[in-house]
Amino acid sequence: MARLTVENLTFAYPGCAPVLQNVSLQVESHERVALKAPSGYGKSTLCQLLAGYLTPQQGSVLLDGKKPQAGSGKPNAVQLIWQHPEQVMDPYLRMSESLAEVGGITEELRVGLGIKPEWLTRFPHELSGGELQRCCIARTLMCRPQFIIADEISTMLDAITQAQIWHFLLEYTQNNGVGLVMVTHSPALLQRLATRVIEL
Amino acid sequence: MTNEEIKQALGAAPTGHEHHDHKNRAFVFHSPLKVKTGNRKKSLIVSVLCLVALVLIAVVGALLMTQASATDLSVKNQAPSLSHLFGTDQLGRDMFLRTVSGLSTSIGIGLIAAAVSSVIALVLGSAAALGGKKIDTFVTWLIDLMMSVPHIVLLILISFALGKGFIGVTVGVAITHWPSLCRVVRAEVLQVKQSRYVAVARQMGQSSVQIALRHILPAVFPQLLVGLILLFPHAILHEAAITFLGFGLPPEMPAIGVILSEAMSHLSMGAWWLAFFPGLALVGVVMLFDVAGQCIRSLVDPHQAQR
Amino acid sequence: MSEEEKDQVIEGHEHHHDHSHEAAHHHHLHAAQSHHTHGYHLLQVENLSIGFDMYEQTGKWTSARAFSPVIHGLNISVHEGEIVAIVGASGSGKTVLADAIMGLYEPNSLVEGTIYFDGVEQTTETLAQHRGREIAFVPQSVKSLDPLMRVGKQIGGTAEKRAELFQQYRLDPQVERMYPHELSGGMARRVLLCTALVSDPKLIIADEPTPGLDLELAVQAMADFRAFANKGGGVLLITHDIELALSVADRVAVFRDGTVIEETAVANFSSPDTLQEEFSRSLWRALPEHEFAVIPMEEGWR
Repeated sequence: MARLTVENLTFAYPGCAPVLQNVSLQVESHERVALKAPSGYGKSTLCQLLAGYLTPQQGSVLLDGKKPQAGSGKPNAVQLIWQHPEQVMDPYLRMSESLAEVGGITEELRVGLGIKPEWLTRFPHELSGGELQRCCIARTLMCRPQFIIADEISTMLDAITQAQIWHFLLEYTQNNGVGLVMVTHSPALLQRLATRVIEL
Repeated sequence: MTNEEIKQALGAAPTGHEHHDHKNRAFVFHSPLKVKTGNRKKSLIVSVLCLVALVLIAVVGALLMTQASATDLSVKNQAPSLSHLFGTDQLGRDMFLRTVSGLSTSIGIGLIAAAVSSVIALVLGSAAALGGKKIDTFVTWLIDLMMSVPHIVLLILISFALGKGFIGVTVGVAITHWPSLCRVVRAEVLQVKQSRYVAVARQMGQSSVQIALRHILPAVFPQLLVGLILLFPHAILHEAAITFLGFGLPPEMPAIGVILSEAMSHLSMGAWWLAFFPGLALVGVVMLFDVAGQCIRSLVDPHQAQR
Repeated sequence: MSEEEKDQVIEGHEHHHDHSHEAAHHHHLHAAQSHHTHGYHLLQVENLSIGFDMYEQTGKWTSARAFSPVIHGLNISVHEGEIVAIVGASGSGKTVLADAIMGLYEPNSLVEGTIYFDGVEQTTETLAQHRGREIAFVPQSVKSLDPLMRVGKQIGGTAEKRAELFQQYRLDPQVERMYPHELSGGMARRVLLCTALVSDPKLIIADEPTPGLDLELAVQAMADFRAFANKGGGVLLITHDIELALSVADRVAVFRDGTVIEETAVANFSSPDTLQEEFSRSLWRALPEHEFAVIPMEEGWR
């Protein structure tokens, strides 16, 4: 059982007033937690802090007491799935090449996420948002994270794709004991998915 | 594919609303293909043709080097004719052979200079973008310094200091042409380095070396290639210029600069062909490089890839 | 004079070519399932087809030119005082449609069909002239604002007009002097709306205006569109957020694979039984507030 802890986190972008001040929260790996906060609070910033994309000025993000970190050949155990998949994949690499960086894609994941084999031979700009987001999720899951941070991952997708992706992620996190931290603006989606809501 | 075929393809697409179709379908609102989309194949052919022509000139010119300097006083100062296409000079040398050999020399110098320049640009540019603040400041300062001095002055100084001749010119051209390309490389590397996909790759456990090789280099390469080819015309023109001014290649070498400066003293005697054809040929070669560079740019630039 | 007759009088002198099909409901073409209240047509799109001439990789080094149709045989209309929502599968060409109505075309695109705006048949050029004047665009994100220009200058128009809009949308007059990065999400959203409204447009095209906004702001944005429509404007709302769209729109057009497969009144979206197309029903069932059902992937869905 892993535990992700945030202690007294404070963060400011260079030259700006602090976005987050003294944020503390705790998530267990069997939980699916939804972050709720008013607009402009800095939820996306918090997501990036959790996944190691930003470094806090004060406080810390700890996974079982240690700072989660990516080393060479070792992905971060806390992985972020972004809202805009177009910016996540190298535009010069085909899907299969991008996926090869994390050891390729297992057949199980490919079928589960509904990724067609022919998509793997394409470049990011040749895929639609939904197709690309499926590939991005596959790439994230191939890193075998202990926690997944999902920052509005389905707002750009149609309802059918959204339902397919979330059902898969739900099953995956339950079967593998992976914790989920999510941000969504849809109350209905939140009600369907979250086991706990953290009001920031 | 012609517009007609495209129209057919559009018409053949299942509309699902056949029963609503106008009896006489009006194509009133019709945006034609504004840009000719056959460009890609054409670009490829044009750039290959340009490069083949340049290689041909370089090789033929190099082979004709000895014939080009052969004098024959019996045919001196002849106007262009079928036996001497570009005419002959005051020593009876065939101007056509001299021009081709001169161009060959120019292309050779351009090749070495452009290659050295692009290596310098790549190394310094990536070092500036990846190395840290101090290196970046230094490289930026160096670029600004180099660009603040007029090219030709710097070239003359370097060439003169190295004793003129082939080596002087080549080194001079090579180490004065990298700054603009270096600036492009630096900006490009910086941009890719700060892109989200590199940050994601890093969080997924990619090492710095892997990121540099797999993500950054491929993104910079097209720019570098195009920059390299577009450096050629610059290098060639500058080589001709300093040779013309007498700070470059020695007079016994066949070079466009030498030919043009010699021609100056004979122009007043009506020997227009001595300057006209070699000058035209120089412009032609420069344009060949330029066209090849532009075509290759349109082939490798992802924004234009679909045109 | 009945509603129907009024329509014909209004349209009669504005359209010149002959339409003799009786199936078409007052003069123009609608999708197969068209239900809407009668009113004056602000925008009519008839039989629109858009395709791109592209290169497709056929081997490692070879590529062939191919023509790929993105939109085909599309009909849609927006009336005065109406919000029409376009919902449907992602990657089915909705943004291309928005660009087409604003006269923005990629150089490698081929466009066919007829677009009427305000009863007048349009060409690429006239559409481009309307863009930013009678036809305004509300983009997705604040990123489409120039980061180096003060808000007031970006909005343009006269100072009085801006003051009026600012008051209407509860923006502080000081916002005029701010730069885009100083705006919060909600303020930015209202600034974008003001930018669209400053030219007194008749039609607003909004492309995914809500992602990134929290519910309260998204609802507010919808209310702003509603207010605009109630004053006689037309809104074409392109969105994925069906739930939100249903709360404010008059009609919903379901978009799939480049065409409108169903055009229906909002009320019909309250139950799958009143929806005609299988795809529309699937969309309904997949919504988290309904069944959140997993619809098996079928060839051609993206």
